[in-house]
Amino acid sequence: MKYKDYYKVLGVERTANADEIKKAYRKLAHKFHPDVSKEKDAKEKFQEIGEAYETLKNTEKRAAYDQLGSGFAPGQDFRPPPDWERQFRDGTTRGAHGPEHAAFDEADLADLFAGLSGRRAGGRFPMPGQDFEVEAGITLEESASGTEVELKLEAVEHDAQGVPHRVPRTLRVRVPKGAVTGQRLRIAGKGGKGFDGGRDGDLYLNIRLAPHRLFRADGHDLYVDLPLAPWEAVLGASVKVPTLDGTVRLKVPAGSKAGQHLRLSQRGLPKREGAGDLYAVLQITVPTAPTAREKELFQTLAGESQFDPRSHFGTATEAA
Amino acid sequence: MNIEISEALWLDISKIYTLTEITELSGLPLTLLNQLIELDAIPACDDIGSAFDTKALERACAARRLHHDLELDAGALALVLQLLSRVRELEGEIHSLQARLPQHLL
Repeated sequence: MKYKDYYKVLGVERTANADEIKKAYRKLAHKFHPDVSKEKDAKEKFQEIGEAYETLKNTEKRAAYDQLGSGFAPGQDFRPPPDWERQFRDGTTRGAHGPEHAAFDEADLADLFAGLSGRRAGGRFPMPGQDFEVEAGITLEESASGTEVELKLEAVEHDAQGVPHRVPRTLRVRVPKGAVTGQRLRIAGKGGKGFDGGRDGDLYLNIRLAPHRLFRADGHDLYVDLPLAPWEAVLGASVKVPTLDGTVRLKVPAGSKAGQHLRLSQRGLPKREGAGDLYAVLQITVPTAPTAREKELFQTLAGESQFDPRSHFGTATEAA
Repeated sequence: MNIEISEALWLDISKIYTLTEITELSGLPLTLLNQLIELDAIPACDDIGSAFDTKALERACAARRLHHDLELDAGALALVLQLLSRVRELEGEIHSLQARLPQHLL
């Protein structure tokens, strides 16, 4: 069994009273709660904080925890004293025979404490399994065609003696095509196992599209930058544009401006009905190292053109 | 290695839940759920507060987590849920605007 220093997690002394523990928990919980926090690893951190608080706020659990002593480093393998195991046996076992040492070696400290007081307080009652929430990153191409994601989960299961263990599970989930950032999938019954007749928890999958080299997604619509030469924007052009299904030709109208969007209907990500659109975001780019001839042509144009891009300023806009 | 294969269901399918289903699925106590409905923090789909959509279920789940983890009462929960909803809305707008901007401006 791995040792966890719950006092250290909450940042309190081992002699801290209930109020001090509660205050420390609240402060950390506000900072790391996954529903509100933007901190990195907030979910894992909050889980750790919650686990520590669940044990230390309860007199009985705290006393049992304190009996382990303080001579271990966090994460260190340790074996609880026999007396300590006995009290858990009394609290958690279902049969007449208690678990052997081996059962406890693989047990998780938090899972043991989680089962302790409820069982002692009121006998057995159905406990629903925990709902799992995980993020699944997929590519745009995977979203377009539908995909499978492999999830590695750890669920708490109870052995024949009622001792909880973390059991690794691998689950492959079929994600329907058209999944986009912010959408959620529910996989019924694939969360934590229910206990004493309680229903199994559900697994919720939050979809997140990975950044793409060319396309940016907004819902089922896609955006791609389309660089144009100045003469293509002025004269119009037929240009090749990449899509998720391959290259298509797009007619750029004469007089196009930078920042304008040209829509390619139904070339975005698939939806339940139809598909989103692909928008080409026009950019006017200029040659950074023009040849002497190109310079000459631009100078001729500059001399002959009456075009004033700053006419709306209402003042003379001659170059300084 | 044992790999289970599962089919996933969209949560945003236009499923309608009853009050009882929302309570069971979210784990939120009925009295607290009723308070949050009265405070418009969990919107019902009908006038009598008996039908709820998936968005309401998601909010109820978040309310249960916040209530349990931060010990917030109904008033504080309603405020947090409304602010969170506004934050998500604004994040969505930012994301949407960023998609429309040329890459070199991001």
